[in-house]
Amino acid sequence: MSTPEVNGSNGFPPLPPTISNSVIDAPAAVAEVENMLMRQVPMGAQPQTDILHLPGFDPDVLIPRFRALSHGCYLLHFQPTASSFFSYYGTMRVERNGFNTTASGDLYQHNNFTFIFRPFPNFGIIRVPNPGPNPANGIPILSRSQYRYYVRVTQILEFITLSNSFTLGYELHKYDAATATWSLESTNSAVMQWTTAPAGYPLSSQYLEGDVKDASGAVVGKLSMGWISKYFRKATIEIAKVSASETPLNSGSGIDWQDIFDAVSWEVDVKLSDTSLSEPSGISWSDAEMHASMLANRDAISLDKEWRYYLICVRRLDSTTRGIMFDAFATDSNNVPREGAGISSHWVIPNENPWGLVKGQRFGTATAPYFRTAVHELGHAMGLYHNTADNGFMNTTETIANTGTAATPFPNNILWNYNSEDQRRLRHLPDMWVRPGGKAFGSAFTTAPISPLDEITAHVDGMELKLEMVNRVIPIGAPARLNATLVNNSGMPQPGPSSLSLKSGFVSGKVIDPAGMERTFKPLVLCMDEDVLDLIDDGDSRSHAMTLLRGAQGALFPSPGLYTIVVDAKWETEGIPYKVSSQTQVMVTGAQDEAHANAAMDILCTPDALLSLVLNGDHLTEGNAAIQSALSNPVLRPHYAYIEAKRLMQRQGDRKPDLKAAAQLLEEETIMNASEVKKAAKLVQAASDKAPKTAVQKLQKCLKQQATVTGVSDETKEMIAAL
Amino acid sequence: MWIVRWSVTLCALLLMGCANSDALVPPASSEPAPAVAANAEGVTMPHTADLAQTILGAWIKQSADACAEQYADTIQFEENGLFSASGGAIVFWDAGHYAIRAQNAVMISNAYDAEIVYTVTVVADILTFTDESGCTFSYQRM
Repeated sequence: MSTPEVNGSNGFPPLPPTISNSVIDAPAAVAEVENMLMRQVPMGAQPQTDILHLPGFDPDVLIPRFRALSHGCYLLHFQPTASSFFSYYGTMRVERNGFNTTASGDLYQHNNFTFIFRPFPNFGIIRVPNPGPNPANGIPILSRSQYRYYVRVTQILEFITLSNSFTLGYELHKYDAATATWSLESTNSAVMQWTTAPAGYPLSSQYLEGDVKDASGAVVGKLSMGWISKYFRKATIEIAKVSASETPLNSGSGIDWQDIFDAVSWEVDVKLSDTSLSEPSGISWSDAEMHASMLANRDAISLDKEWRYYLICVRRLDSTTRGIMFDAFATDSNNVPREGAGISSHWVIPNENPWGLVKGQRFGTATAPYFRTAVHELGHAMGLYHNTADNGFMNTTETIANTGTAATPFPNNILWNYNSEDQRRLRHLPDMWVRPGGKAFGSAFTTAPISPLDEITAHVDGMELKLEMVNRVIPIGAPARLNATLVNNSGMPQPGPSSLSLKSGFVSGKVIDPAGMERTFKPLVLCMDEDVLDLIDDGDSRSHAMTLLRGAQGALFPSPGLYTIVVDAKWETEGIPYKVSSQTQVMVTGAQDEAHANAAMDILCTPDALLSLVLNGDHLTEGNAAIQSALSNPVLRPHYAYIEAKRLMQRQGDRKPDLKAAAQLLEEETIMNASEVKKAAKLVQAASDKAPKTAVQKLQKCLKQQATVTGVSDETKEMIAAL
Repeated sequence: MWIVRWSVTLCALLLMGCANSDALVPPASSEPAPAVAANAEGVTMPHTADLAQTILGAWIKQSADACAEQYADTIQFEENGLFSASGGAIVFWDAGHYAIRAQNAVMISNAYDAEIVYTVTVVADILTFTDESGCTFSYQRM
């Protein structure tokens, strides 16, 4: 390819030649840009032009030099303004995946100085600087007792920038060692600027610094991040065995430990230790025996200096068939959880289906499932639970065997990777969740913070989502009702959702509790409709109200406190995903008395209460019973009266609509949102001709009053007036 | 002659045995075998084969005792010996295999693959477990 000539008369290069009609090989172009970005850029240099060799393009194209973050681990250092005596060191894991970037980090407290007492007669204290981790040593392993924060990155450079800086946004989740839980402490941001790296960093072009500001804009410290490794985490897997057992080293088809962990960016060092362990009490080992053997025979290490997992291979296991993570909790003899796992080599696979190609074999000779079990058990040691979403490592052997087919019998149907969600967990869960000796096994994933998956969505300037709570304060056990309005102030018509109803599928969100835990909500029922998008005129809006009670993780408001509700409206136009988000707050107050507490507990502990709220079926006995419990309590009754009335106003099998009973429920204090008022009006209208006039009049009066406070549309008001 | 008489007698006895086995085996109970057995508390328990059928399906936890906190809110037993469980702040039962061990015992694998045997009773639509520590907790059929 030819090089464009520089116009020597004015020092400026000529304009790039007209781009031909050649098709741009996008992946190759991205790769070429990425390669350029790995080159060092001198400090203070202005963005330079570079020659981009685009496959299929002739001549070459001159483009400005870009910057981007590199995939891998960055050494993180935060020096708070408030104190010079201590700071925080840790790692930030930057996952680059095409255009998307997901990042997370952990911080450990570091004493900046060591104090030495000078004895008599030169009595005094000498302050000696205590350096942090040496970047030349790669990923640092820091002491568990010094672990302080999880860094949940919410904003980071996605792809490339022409600038010398980008904004990093993150939440700091403070770790409470006593309860082994995290809570949101602060939300910060920093403009991170590329600058010259101090000595020792392997990639001097990937070092950044910036002042950290808190939510109020005050500077709270200085943050630096410097690239130190292409891996996110590093660990040692020590494998020991009795002489009769096989060593699980690979799948038998070329996949070994490093291959598996390369996929999640973990650097693993597999060490084979004892090969002839003594069997303490016959061929079968108890959990305690495996644990004792681990303590007695394991290489001398400190889990504060090395992440080491121990795998022991024995002939049989007392407490299970194939494998077990014998060290789940901190109740074992050394009170350190998740250090080790054991597998059985002499279990004989039943000689029957569904065991496919390995039926009847001794387990240790069935290389593929034997190795898979070893990986599976160490996955538990890394804090993972069973995952039946696919045939990946954390699914159970029985389940995978049961999904074998004649064409793909077990073990050929084993998927030789972790499920994508487990991959995310291994990359981005907090250190204390995954490292050996950290947090005990057994807490639900929802109790741990984790950086959000990145998604590229477009934003339309001028499109805004507004949220308004029907009640900003609700008692515990009550649902949260809010109105959502998507407004187009862009100056021109824009395609957007025809409805913001949860059933439309465009709306979802999450609720953040006072401790920072997130619980998501999605539509329970989706209505499939061809005309899902329409044009929203400039100045026009789409509104709908929603009632939130439960989500994927259970009750959305399970305890008193201040909650943040985040609502996302997402839609796709011409293949481009758009998203508009907003958030609001609701205060949940505590139980006012024992009766209220009991009624709230009935609602919170009954999953079917959500079904009753959404589907209103007579057959939903569990959910309806919970609703009745709420109705019998004066505190919760106003929040559930409409839900029960809605059920009664609808025909259910042989039962006719009962407007009389509904009229007795709906009162002035009943809490409804605009959508519920509209729905109620429709139901009354549909059943009014066969209902007692007094019931219809009472309902009309109630709905008229509700219409004035909920801000219903004129159409709804006319419908109510016509009842 | 004596041999012939003995043989005829033996054949006759055998023929009588074929016609009426009660003559050659200990007398059976005068009542038909019950479909369920009663334990010491008088609670009816299904036989092993019945328990394998009775336990199938989805169950939702009823107990609110602290000792039962680690057990999932819901559990579903499949016919192929697999189960799935969900809900709760503690992950102890999530997904795995189970097996009926006796007419009142079921083995369930847990979240870190230990296989634990529970004593079970089924009364109407209530499935009650007792674990190794003596914690008793119940589920209702969904």
